[in-house]
Amino acid sequence: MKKLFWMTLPALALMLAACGSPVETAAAPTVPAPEADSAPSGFLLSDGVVASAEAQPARETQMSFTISAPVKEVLVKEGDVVKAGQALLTLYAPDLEGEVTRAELAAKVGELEFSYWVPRRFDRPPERRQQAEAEWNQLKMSLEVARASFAQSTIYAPFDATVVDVNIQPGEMAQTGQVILTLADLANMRIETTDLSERDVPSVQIGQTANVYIEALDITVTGRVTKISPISETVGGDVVYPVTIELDEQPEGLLWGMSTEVEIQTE
Amino acid sequence: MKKAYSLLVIILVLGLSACGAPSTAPSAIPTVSLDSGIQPSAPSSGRASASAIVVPVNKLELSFPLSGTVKTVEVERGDSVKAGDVLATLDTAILEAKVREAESVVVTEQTQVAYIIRTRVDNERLEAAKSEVDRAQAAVDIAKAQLAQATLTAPFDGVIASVDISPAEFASPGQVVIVMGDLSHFQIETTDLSEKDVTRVKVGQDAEVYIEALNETFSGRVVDIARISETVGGDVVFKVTIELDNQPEGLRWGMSADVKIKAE
Repeated sequence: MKKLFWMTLPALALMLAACGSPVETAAAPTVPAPEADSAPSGFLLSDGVVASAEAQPARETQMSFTISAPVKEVLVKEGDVVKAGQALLTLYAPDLEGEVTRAELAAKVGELEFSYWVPRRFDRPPERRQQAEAEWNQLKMSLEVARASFAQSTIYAPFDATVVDVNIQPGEMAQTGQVILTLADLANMRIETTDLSERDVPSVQIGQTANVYIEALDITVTGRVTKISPISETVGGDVVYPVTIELDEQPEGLLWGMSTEVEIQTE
Repeated sequence: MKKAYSLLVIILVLGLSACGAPSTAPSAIPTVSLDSGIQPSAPSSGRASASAIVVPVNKLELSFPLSGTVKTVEVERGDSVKAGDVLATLDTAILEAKVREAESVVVTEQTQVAYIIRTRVDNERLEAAKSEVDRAQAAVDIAKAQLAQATLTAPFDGVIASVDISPAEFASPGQVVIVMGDLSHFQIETTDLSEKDVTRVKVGQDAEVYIEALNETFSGRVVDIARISETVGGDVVFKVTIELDNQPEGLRWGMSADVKIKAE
């Protein structure tokens, strides 16, 4: 009898231990520690706000034409560094080009017509001269409209940038509004958070310093908060605010879209 | 021996039931907003609860009325702007040329009128020439109005919430390019207040608004109830707008809130 009793004790102890562990695992998910998890080993775990982020160019543009026409020349290739105002791509637009030629000739005719009325004679009233001059001027203005329309068959770089993507080749049709070229200012990259929660955003302020760990380069650089989005975004049901961090010094090899972890020093 | 076995069984049962209770506790997931909305017993509570978001009273999604290539974008996310400030412009080379062309036609028609007046031809021809001037002037007005549409200006003082366009990109009519709001004045809009609860909600009722991000509760008042429903995940819901008595610091557009309306 006693022996049996002693046998039940270890059995009980085992049983309690076995049912003890599910209690612990069930409790574990309630501990909200995603911040501690995602913090790379390089960070000092302080009171700061930690978030995932992405490297993004300060400026980028997805360019397209306002007219539909076949591509004539592609003047740049991916990776090229271009200056503001540089021509990048031209379309084959014989109709617009022809319209310019027609308008040029019409303006020439207008000029000749005006020159006929210039000599002052009794059968050439001054109003007719004024009228011929006004008509000539009108034709010159129409020529300007034709030139402006033809100018749409070339696109120019709006700012100093790098050609990131060229989506079209000579001979292919470019549709109105179709993105054919992407430019980005890769010399000025910023870091933008992707999952900074609404719970953390009240403690973030413009001007706070931040440590930015760039995974691909395995380095930590410093920066400053320069922008907090006034409007939220929803990521997988969470309300998040994109926060922009400008780096004190842009490390070499930082590319568009690289993953980073940021720790914003809020106190 | 048999007695010992039964004792063992009793001990085992007791042991299991004892540790069973704590393990079930964490699995109870609180379903706060659903409870009051769906249970038919809700009216007795006298409260209508719902999830909500913080939005500015004055907000606007701006787009160009014409299509064209964007020339300049003058603002960035977070910038403060005054009413009338230029936010973005389209390339206006063609539109400007068209204005000058239309103006040159007016000059031409005016010289014709002057000629007719001096030579005193019949009145009909004079009237015809004068109406040609008016027509040319109308064409100038049209060209100028189109030119004006190529510039987006801020309609009120506010903050730029998002900018979805860059220079040299193509903008089509109606495509939202800039979102702005007046961030000095926020209100709360419910997102899942059920049709079952909306009947008890009246304008002027008090409400408690818990802002999760600030972890604080604020008092407010129902100022508007939507006249048409929306459907959220199969549920018919009505948007109820609540104005806060005092606007707290740190409130941001899009923050989550839980509201409890003191319904009848």
